[in-house]
Amino acid sequence: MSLDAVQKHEIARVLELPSRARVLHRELRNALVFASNAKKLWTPPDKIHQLVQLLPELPQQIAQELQERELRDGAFCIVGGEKNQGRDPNIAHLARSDGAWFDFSITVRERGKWLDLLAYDFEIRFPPGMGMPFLRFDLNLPAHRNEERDMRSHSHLGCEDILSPAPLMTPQEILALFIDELRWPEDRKRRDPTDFEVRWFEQTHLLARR
Amino acid sequence: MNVPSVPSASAAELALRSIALRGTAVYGAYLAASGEIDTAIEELDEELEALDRSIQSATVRPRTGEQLIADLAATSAEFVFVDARLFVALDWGLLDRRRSSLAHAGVLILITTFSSFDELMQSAPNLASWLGAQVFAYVRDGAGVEVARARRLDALRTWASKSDADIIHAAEDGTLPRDPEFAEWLVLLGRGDLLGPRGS
Repeated sequence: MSLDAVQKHEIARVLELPSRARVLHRELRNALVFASNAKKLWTPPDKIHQLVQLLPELPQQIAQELQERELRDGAFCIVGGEKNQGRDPNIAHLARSDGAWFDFSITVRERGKWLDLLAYDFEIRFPPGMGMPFLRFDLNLPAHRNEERDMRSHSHLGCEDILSPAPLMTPQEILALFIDELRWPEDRKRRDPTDFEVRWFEQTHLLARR
Repeated sequence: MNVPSVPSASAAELALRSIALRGTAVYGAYLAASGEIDTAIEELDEELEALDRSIQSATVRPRTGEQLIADLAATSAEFVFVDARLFVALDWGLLDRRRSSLAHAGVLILITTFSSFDELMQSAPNLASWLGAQVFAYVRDGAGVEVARARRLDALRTWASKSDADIIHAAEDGTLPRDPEFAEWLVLLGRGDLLGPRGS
């Protein structure tokens, strides 16, 4: 069965973003600073200022050449934390108060009333006992092979190679999810893992040692 | 120039510090090249508003110390930015003698040039002591962008075991995977023109 209808539904959502990349950058950075002030993040505000950066489409000489060819379209990356494909906790990241940690990268284009959200990846890594090691929300560029498989907007639920459809979200919404949600509920006791889960983790560990 | 080395702060960082000092009477100085002062004030104002839309701020651009005293008497804004780039020793000396007229219930930041601040340090010792540690040099937000760009490109090349040329060729051929990492890669290379579907 095709998931085409699901994907169409997700991608059809119109996101109301600022018109300028530097405004979105500022909104994301300030959301993190407020979370730090509220002790939801361990990362202090001055470190947040270093980690959350707006990277414009330079170098200038290339941009100028493209401008002459009328191809320059004002694309930007907004990044939070260093690139970290290996999930190395020693690489600079944004740290949550419960031990979870995350980073993100967003690609936007300044075009019209709202920014054009082209691609993103937001990945959070959880502390032990949270049921899965990491969760990533990806938005691929249009016309990716996954879009043909109905999954331009998808999540990775603790596995690099298994994808699940995900709603298209604004960067502010995903940050809110990472900062305030996806936490162990304070009013709920941790449950003991079932025998199934214990065996599952043991066998996963054995597979990794092969 | 006798200005001791002062720590740098972007407008965003200074706005954050200013917010933290809210509710107290604080005086600070923000030093920039003459040609950057308008940008520094504009950024400071924008950053402050982004942190709290309810904040009332005012920018005054007096030509003399005497005019600053009059301007301050006329404003009740919680945050006041003073474009003081025109102030010379005479102005700073006057303000030092009449510093009680500068009393302001909020955060007041003198934005001026390094040379003007040098004259303040020499002509207004009491005012200088008011400023204390709240003196910063303006640095454009994103000053570390080139270092970050180089580091991220390195990380992407290692991750994909591909060169920048490989990525550009694949994008031009329409064979580049559309994963977010490749979108970032193209932008960092200055090739946002290749972000469209199938390299269009």
